[in-house]
Amino acid sequence: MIDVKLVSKAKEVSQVISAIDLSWRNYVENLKENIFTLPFRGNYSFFTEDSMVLVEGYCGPLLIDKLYHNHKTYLLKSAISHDPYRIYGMYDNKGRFDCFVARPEIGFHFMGMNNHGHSICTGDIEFTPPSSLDSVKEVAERIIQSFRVINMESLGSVILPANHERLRAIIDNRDEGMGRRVEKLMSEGLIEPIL
Amino acid sequence: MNVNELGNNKVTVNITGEKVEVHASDPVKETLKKILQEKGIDSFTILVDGEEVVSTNDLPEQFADHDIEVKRYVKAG
Repeated sequence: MIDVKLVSKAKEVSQVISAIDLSWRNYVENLKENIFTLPFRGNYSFFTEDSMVLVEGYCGPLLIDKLYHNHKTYLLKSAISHDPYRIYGMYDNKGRFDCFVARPEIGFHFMGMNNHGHSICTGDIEFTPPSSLDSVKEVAERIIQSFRVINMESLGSVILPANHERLRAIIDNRDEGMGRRVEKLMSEGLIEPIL
Repeated sequence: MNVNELGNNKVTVNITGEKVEVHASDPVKETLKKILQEKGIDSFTILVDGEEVVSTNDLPEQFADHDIEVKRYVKAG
């Protein structure tokens, strides 16, 4: 009731006050957007990228030296390596886990491009959203181990350095069946069966 | 004589944590292929004397005088 009375007696607000009010609201909203909540306590490295927090879970060498297709494991004649390679758990600015990402992005098991680059397709690696540095590290360790094998039966976005262009061109040729691509890799001497 | 060699000219190989007996003179490549096929292990790496095999040339002909281990890989993707 009092609200109705107040509204009926209220004078039209001045444009100056409206402008100040809008400016203040925009400032507060902008501030909210730029406030980051750390996902958990602890002593760890992280950085922010756009509106996301990236927590480092692995820093060390990347090695990709095997290929799996149709129940067979092959060796890459020329292994792919990069050092240092980093895997991060990515959290939004409210501290909620989003996905794992890698910097630089090198590998065969990335999801499609989104607003934050390519997230890692974790496939058979089962985990709950990491809520501590130890759990980020533990999952990142399993990811780096699984990255050693190119799984032709669950291939994601392929991102490779320029010196592995031929390998990338064959493996990422979506016009050909997987069997044909593996045959090509064999005939061009890029892979050999481990047994 | 390798530490894993048994009295009756047999040796044990470590297949994803399980000890499997083979003859010391068995051919490594064919024998491992058979064992892994039987166990349904298709994504793996092989270690010979603690070193990971990076080329098929690294595989010895026979099991005698070698520690051989197979580790399973979780496939990515």
